Amino acid sequence: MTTSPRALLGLAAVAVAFAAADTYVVVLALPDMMSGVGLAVDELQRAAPIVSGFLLGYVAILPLIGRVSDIRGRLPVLVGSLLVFALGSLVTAASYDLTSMVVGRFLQGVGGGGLVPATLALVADLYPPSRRGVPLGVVGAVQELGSVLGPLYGALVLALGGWRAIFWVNLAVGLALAAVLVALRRGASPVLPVGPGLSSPQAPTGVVPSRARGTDLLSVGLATIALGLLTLVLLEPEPLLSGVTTGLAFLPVAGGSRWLSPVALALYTTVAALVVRSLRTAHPLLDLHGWAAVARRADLFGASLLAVSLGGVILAFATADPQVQVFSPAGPWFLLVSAGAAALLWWRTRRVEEPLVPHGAFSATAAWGSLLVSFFVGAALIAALVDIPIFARITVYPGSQFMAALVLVRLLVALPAGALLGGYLLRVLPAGVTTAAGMALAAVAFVWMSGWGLTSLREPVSSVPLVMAGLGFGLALAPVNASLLAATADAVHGVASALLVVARMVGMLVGISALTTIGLRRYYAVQVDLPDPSAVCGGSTRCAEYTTLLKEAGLAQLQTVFVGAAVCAIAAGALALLTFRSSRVAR
Amino acid sequence: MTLTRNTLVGSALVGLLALGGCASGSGEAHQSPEEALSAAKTTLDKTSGVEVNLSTEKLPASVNGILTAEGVGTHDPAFKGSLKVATGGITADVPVVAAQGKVFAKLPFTTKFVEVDPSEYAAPDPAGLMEPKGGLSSLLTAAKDVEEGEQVRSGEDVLSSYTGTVPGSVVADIIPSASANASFDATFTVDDQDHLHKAVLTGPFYPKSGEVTYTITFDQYGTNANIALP
Repeated sequence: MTTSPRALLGLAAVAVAFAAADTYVVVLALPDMMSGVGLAVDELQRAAPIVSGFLLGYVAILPLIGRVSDIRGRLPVLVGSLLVFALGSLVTAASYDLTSMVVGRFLQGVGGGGLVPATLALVADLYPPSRRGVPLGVVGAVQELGSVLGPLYGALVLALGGWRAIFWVNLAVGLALAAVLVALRRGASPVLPVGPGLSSPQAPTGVVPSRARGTDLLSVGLATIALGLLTLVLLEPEPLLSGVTTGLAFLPVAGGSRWLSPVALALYTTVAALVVRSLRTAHPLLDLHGWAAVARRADLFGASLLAVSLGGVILAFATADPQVQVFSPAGPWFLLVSAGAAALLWWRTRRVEEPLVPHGAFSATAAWGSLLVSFFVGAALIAALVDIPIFARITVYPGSQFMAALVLVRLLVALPAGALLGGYLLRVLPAGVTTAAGMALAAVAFVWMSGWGLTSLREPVSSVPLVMAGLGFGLALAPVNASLLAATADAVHGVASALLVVARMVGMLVGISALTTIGLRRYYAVQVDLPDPSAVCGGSTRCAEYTTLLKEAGLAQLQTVFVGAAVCAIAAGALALLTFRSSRVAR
Repeated sequence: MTLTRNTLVGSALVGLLALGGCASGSGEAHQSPEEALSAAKTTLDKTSGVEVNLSTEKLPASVNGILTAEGVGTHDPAFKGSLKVATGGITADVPVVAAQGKVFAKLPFTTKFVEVDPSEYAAPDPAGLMEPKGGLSSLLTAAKDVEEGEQVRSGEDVLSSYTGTVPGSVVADIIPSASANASFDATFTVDDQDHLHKAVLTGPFYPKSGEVTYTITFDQYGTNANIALP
């Protein structure tokens, strides 16, 4: 009888790994995705939201969904998250501009982020506290595994198809996983609620869904039509668009937006019909009444504040014109809104009876210190993940994402090795020292990379800083986790570990936005304009020397980002030395 | 299941189309395809200025070439706009101003315009695209074996479409790397006021890399732009 819940957990872990892989799946496809939506290489700061949009969705949903899965049950949340992930993949695959692409990535993040807390809660349901260590570790490990496999998986799909293929595959896998989960639910629903270590008293009502018996075919039909219409609006297929009659369906009834075309209006009508049907029928496809009740009890407002706060940071940097300054005129206002939302969130967390983070949980220096360290580690790591492949594409592998991917692989394979080493060193060295050593290694590697030129990657010695950086990041993983766990009470270990991941992702999100923009700005500020081509080329206006000059100028931006990453790594190491001193981890 | 879906989509669309009303069909006196294209050339040559957008969905991997070129052309001749070029796996934006026989461009990662010789960049003189001879309008009259195709919709307009082939030598005036000996498949869509809306060319634009399709659209006929050198 227990095979089904185990199978369920296994499946959920696969889904978590898959969603984690999606954070990084774009790092290799980024240059292609940028040209797909019409961005040039010197507009990297505008492309950053393609990465950070996913992180925003992922982070913003985490606090919300843990609570939701307590109220609603794990399976509906897992299935729902996968469906949102699939919808996000569809929108990204069919995106027609930067905004639609970022919206798609955000939805993917929301779906992917929802999987993690629900899966962790599933572990809590299935295992008594004393036996949770291993399965929790497995969930954590598949998340890390996903981040290593993500770029490779992206490279593999890119080798066979274009970047859009990645997201069509995501759509298919998301739907397939959701379908298997639903099938498992049918088989396993009597078993689930009596899991041995059921932690939440509210869970039993939510775990057995009332609608497991029959699915409303009309709703399924309406949902299918809605998805079909959405795809039409996004893709605007040329044969239909240019048809004398069929083209009318794509002609906006007012204004010029494709979202006001008859097809779009039909989409809205279908969605409205689906909503009405879901509210009226006994066994709806979307249990809106149930979810509305959940929404009232979960901290939607808190999650929105978090989303607004982080979204403001993304927008502040993404709208900049680095030729002029780091922020667009609206930039400081975005940051102000961001700060306001963060302050409100802090105030609210202090006031609510059952806050997400229990009062005093992070009062130990090493506890909040580890969150800060994690933040800076994330910022440095994302710079490596995004900019190393781009560097490879610009310099030695212009035509091949796959070869560019292999450059990053040198870093990625060293990461788990470093993680093991870090775990071992923890027995003989204090956590702060181990972390600082790892970050020092990473900082040296980044400084080395900032000196790379057009042909550096051809030389075998270029593997040294890549492996060093991977080892360094790996080294820091275990000690940061360990000092956090040592500095917090057993009862909050779950939420504390989750927050560590959140802190790293927020670091990534802020890091990719800020470093890219600051890197470009710094470049433009320092760069004395290049000479006229005719001056370099002796009369003609194009020559190899001038092209090299232009390429080197382009590299300066990435070199600056590497310097920024080194600074972040140093900050992480220094903070670890300072704050982990009080930790009682070692020995 | 499929049947229900199709019927539902169909009826939803039909209902909405009925609400939107039908566009009027064109009832002009019928021209021969050659006459229609020739009239479109005259209109394009006579207009004060027009917004031009040349683009390709996809360049073969490892081809360095033009992804898009968009801007305003006048019959001074002059052109102001922006090129998007693929070079070494990355995309770069190059703002361009062409007038008085000179071409200025702002190369990637630089902040000011410099004079360039477009031929050295395997690019046409953008202003030359507006010349009645050797410019975009010449594609219309260079087309051979022209046949009238189905009517197509472009936004509010219903357009006549013509298909034919254009010699590579003429195409090479626009994309210099086009194979001069080849013939390019061409589709032109023209409205009933003889405005060329769109030209779609498919053929060997870049050596040794198969066929590429470029779509050139024309919009805002009669626009007045004062294009001065930077």
